[in-house]
Amino acid sequence: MSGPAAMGYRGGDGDAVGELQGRSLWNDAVARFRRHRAAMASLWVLGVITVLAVLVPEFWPNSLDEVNWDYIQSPPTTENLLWFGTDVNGRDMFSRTFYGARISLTIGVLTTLVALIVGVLYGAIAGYRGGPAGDIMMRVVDVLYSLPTLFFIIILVTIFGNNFLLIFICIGAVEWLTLARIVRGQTLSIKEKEYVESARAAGLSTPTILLKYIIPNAIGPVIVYVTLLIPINIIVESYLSFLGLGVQEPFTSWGRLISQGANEIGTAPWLLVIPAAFLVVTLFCFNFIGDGLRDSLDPKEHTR
Amino acid sequence: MTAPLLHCENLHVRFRTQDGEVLAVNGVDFEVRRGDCVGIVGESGSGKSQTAMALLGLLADNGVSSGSVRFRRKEILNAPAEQLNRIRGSRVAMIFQDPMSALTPFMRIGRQLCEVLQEHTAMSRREITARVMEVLEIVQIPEPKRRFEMYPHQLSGGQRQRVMIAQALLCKPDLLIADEPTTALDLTIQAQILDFFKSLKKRTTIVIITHDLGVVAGLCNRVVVMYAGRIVEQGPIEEIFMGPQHPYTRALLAAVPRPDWDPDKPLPMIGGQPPLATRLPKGCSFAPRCAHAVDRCRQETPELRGRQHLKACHLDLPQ
Ligand SMILES: Nc1ncnc2c1ncn2[C@@H]1O[C@H](COP(=O)(O)OP(=O)(O)OP(=O)(O)O)[C@@H](O)[C@H]1O
Ligand SMILES: [Mg+2]
Repeated sequence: MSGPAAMGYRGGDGDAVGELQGRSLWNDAVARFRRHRAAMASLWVLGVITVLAVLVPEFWPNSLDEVNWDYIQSPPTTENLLWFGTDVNGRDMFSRTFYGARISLTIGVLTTLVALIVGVLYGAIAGYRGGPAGDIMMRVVDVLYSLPTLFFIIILVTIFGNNFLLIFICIGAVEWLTLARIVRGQTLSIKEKEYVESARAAGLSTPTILLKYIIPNAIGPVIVYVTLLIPINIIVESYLSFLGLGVQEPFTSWGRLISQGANEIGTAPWLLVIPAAFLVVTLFCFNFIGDGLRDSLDPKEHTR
Repeated sequence: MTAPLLHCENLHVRFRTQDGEVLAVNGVDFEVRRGDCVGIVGESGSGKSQTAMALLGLLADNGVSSGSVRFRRKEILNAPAEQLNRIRGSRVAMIFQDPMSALTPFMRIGRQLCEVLQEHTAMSRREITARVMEVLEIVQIPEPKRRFEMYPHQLSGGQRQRVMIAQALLCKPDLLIADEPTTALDLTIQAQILDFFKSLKKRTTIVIITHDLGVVAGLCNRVVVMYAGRIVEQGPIEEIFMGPQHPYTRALLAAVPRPDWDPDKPLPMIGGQPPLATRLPKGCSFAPRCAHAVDRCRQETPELRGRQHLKACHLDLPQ
């Protein structure tokens, strides 16, 4: 915190403390985010990867499952547009990498959304209600938490079969637990704040208070966690596909590509290095964006 | 005589804590009539705020209230949340001590105010905005149009307190409870806000909680004096100020610097500390600090007695 308003400035009533700060929170946030170099660069990089993930599988001349008989396990080359080389079956790695991006990013983002919505609502309700009801809600979380993640996911997949949609639900259903804990902790302290008291004194209903007063104030640490969660979920999907539970051949994801590439590390290192590099870059990008978002969403953080 | 607007009978507030039970409010009776401006005074910890919070069902999770509170003849103590939500903010509004933290930092001032009207009325968006602007003008906030679009941290403390008052006035409440509305503000702003409260008296009934007897003298027509969770004296302002009967009230009044006060002489202080709410003494809670206390005071708890001017004291002190 800095600046006169943050220091509890209580100057003359008629003065214009806000004169220089009349812009909206959103404009300010965007301005601050733009000034965050790493976050902006990350946004561009992710943007490019996303565009390629959308376009390459549709329009690239070499399709992801077409076998190039003359180029089995070829290192990256400019011939025939095989820029990322080919795999053991002679399939174009460029096409496969960006198809993998499509699957991995979708799963990363959607599972995180599921976890975010469920976890934030659950945590906020448990924290705000407090008392025995809130305790029971958190005990449930503790119990689920103690189940090993993979075990839990495998059980769900065995019961419901290998359904692409199920992956979202599975991963999301596991990851919301931590979010629920974070948000509950935040809520416990936020509900003591005077603005919540004053909202209650103004007769606002509990859903309104939760959605408009508690959750926005609890979201700071959540954003950071969520941007970590997206890459984590991309990796969880790779375990699943390694176990044969995720996307199936000929379709692929970064996780699958990496696990297949790891088998050929001695003979064809590009099969591992290229998808792994994309995963790592994506991971960093989400981290930087998370930092940028957290800093720029805080209305008290002054525009420098 | 018509029924009072607010009638509070034998109100108790207890908090469960690790050190045992805290009896924060210990049998409080008072009433507020339409048009009154009642001041509640007393030392820190005497239970003023918790009395107000209990009235509206706003106690912390570990608090329990008992007794009876009737607002417009209807019992509201421990009423279900839906019933209370219809009264809170609309029929009875409350203003808190610290305007710096009473507005959520993530919502524009205008939105926060509109939210209250959306909850309590069926007005259209446009009517709501119009009403909010109207109230912002009533509370004399400079440049209301610009403030409407601002975030709380962009306003000064005085401006924020005006926003809080505006929020309280939005639904034209029958009763306004203000818990130390000026304590967190500097002196000039305090004076402005108090002036504004004077003009408010015409619009609504007010209960104001304060440490400042000067505020009470300038604003209220009735005073309630609290000590250790009980009312020790209550009555019309002139009688309390001109002829205080309870030794505690006397001590409070004597501790106020007067214009003819000689700065070289120390102010008369009330010796000793108020009792801990976990360990109230037997008999009158003030007895251990009271210069006039007799044996009876240490045995029997005095009841609040009288017609207009009530006191809870066994003694009849000479004027
Ligand atoms: N949640 C709580 N748990 C336990 N004790 C509490 C709680 N809230 C208030 N108390 C106790 O209740 C008593 C009365 O508090 P209250 O806030 O009503 O005092 P007050 O008269 O408003 O004082 P002040 O003038 O300092 O605001 C105090 O002893 C306080 O410690
Ligand atoms: Mg108080």
